Amino acid sequence: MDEGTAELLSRYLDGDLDAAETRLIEARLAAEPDLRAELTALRRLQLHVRSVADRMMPPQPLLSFSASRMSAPMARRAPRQVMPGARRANSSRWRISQPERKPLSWRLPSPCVCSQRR
Amino acid sequence: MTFDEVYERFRRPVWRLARRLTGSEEDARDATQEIFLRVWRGLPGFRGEAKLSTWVFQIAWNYLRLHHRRAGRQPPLVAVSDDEALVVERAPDPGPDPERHATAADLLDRVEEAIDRLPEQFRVILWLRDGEGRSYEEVAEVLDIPIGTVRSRLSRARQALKQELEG
Repeated sequence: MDEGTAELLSRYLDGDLDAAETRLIEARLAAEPDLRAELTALRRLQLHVRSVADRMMPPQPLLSFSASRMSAPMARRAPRQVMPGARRANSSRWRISQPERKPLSWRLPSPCVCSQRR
Repeated sequence: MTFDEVYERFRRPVWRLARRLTGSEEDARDATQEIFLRVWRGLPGFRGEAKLSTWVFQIAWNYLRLHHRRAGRQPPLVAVSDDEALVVERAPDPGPDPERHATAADLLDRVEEAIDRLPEQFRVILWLRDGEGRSYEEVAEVLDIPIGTVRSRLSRARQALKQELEG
């Protein structure tokens, strides 16, 4: 089968042809048993590839970090360039935290509060 | 949309694409982690110009393409891992005809191996369209190629897969 016909058939399988192309390929399908067999083979192959995808199950756990922990800060601020939960080796004595969670020492401009690490 | 919602929605398709393109369970897992780290970093800047699925698949493909080339790995001749064999064993009760079920599993094993023997550019396009059911337009956006190229390349990929299975 030539490449042009193969591509038409492939697109017909996916419903990608316009009305004129569809009429053309359907007329040929009606007249050419080999072409019908090719279409059937392609359709079957497509179903098999889909079935291969359906049976593939990722291992658990897939990530070494928790997706839900990563979601929490997402809604409030842009992520830092370090993994959430990772401890910095030489962390500062100071940290920025949510105002409602930490005791107030000095109030900085909203929304952050700076408190001294104990 | 939060990261864990994105993760829940796309963890399987991203892992499947990674598994198909890296050729090993371990590499697919590492790649999936890297891909979701990039998704997490990029999510605050995602403004919805593209569909979310297109954006996630673009990140996945861009990572996998570089990773795959950097590693210079070849697709394995036998692509069925122990874990996948386990999935087949755990599949629903085949009913009164277990022989037929075994034959179907064997057939899918052969299809999977044949996919993994295809050149990368055929494998990825076939997988996105037939494995994941993405539209031509979305495949074109993810792979950053014209839609005409999607049509012709997909057709050639299907022919190549058919020949692999017949050969």
